[in-house]
Amino acid sequence: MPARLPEEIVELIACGVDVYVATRDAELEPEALLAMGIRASADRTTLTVYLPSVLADLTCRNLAHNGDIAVTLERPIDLKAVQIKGHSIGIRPSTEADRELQTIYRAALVEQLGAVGVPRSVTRRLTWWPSLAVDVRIRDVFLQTPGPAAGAPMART
Amino acid sequence: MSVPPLTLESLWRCFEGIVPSALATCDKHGVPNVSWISSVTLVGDRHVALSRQFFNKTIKNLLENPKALLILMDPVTLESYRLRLRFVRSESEGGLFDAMSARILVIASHTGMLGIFRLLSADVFEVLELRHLAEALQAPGPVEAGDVAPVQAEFPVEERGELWALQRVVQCLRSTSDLGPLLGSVLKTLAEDVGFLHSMVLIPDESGRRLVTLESHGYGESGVGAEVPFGEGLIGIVAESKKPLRVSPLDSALRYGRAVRKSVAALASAGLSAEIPLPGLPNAQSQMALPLLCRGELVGVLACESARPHAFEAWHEAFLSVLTDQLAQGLQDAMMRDASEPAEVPGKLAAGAPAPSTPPNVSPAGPAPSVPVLVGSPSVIRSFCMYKNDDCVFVDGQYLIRGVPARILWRVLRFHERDGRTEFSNRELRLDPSLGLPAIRDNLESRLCLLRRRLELRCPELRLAARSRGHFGLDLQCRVAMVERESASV
Repeated sequence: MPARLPEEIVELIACGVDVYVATRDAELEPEALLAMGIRASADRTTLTVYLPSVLADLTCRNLAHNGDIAVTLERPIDLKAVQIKGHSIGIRPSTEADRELQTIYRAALVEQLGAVGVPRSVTRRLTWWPSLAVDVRIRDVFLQTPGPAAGAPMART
Repeated sequence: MSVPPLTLESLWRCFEGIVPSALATCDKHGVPNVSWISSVTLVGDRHVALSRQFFNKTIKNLLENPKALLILMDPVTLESYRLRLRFVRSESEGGLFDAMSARILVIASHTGMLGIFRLLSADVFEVLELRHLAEALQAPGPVEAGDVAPVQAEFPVEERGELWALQRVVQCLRSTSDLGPLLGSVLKTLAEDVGFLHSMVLIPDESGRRLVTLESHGYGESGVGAEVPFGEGLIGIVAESKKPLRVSPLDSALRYGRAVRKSVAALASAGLSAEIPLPGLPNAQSQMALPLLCRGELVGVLACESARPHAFEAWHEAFLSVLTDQLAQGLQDAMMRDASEPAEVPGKLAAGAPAPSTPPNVSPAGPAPSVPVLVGSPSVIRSFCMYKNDDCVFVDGQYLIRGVPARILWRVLRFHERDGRTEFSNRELRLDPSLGLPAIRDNLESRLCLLRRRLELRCPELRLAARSRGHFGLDLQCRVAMVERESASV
């Protein structure tokens, strides 16, 4: 039985969060990349993260090797954050439908970062298209908002 | 034209923070982890240190597998940099730890979490590889109306006249021996030549646990006399640690502190204090404070603020460190000059005269004062009230001053009321035990300077004008009504 994203995290995803993914290679060398979009599946057991193709070589190589992935989300305005651990179940070029979704995500991120002082024109420069869509089966969800409770499990397989 | 090599030092803005950095690690079983890092500090030319406030998955992973990957983002341009790291060690004491800890303390202090939220360790990493992710940004687009203006460097390198400014400050220090004008001219020079529009100099009061603002620039009337307890906020922490400190942008630091506070509050309600307001500018985004040290002893703090998020760079801190050495020496010299005043006391009262509340044991007879006892319109009356338990003086119902300067003012006004005296000496103040001046390093001149500045602001009709070295006169352009009360609450 896969872990299910709590409803509040689905809402968090919708409001424009910073998203980083981490992977690792055969030598346990970690890699990190800023994703430019995220969505949860209807049953909340899988996620799709969107990686700018031009930057995603190493990440995709790692995922092809072992599939281990960590995804962290943070809302800039109050630093509410979670980390999702899971396994990649597929990588594919993003479709026009994905592009629509990324456009909405990007608009929300631009507003969120604008609220903490990053000019909208600057955030819009972040490379986001073309992208690769990585589907992730969720294994664990951990709270990651700064503080003593960071690391506490929110959902588990 | 060749491109300069990418160095860690050239990424200085990434080490100031607004956009948190991301750190990826991996445990011994191959499970990756990615965390947000609030503060990354440059250590030498090939190491960085990350602040750790809680024991977490990241440090657990690093102890199993020292490999890490850090993504830094320039907070102004969002340019990304990829740093491949190797964990070297955790430091929980020493210079690096103290410097990083002070920044955390500032956040903890402002968000009411002193003693709860603190640095556990400075985790040091060797930087094995540094790469600019040029592809992470697209070409700039148009700036839309109403957008936040992109931040520009406050002072372009070619316009920095650091030597010129330093020379002007040294000139100020040499040109006057009076503390008030000296500090005023230094802060004015900082504004005009360096662009620090909001600055203040604070000195420790007689308790040695509180700083009081002796001179300020760019704060209007409210600056002089403002107080900061030792250990509280950026200025108080600089006074306590005797180390310079910069926090920028404040919004980001406070957001981080508030997130932790919310998390702490959810776990345990006890131990949190109220969030304290920032001193000075209500919309400050950058703060920098430097200790004024003379042979290791704190004689004051120079603090600067700006409404811009990235107003103060490492360069400014280095420049001001040179300047504060000069300023501290100037402050010290002014006080030493005053303390070595001639023993001979002109005027009516000999040294050691008791406070006027007790019967005087010296004759009121003597040479007439050289300055008129009462000048100006007698129709103007200012009411002074001394609240004895609170050790402070109000004028016309408004707070004027407290502590030693308040007692000095009260003594002067009492003598004037009783004998019509208008001439006073620093020496007689030093010998009056009722004022509570410490026997050594009494900072009398700075207390008088503060009193003068507060009078200028709140009661310009009453002046304590410097006469000759170690002497001052009471110039009155009003009538004075005096009343003593036990406490403001009575």
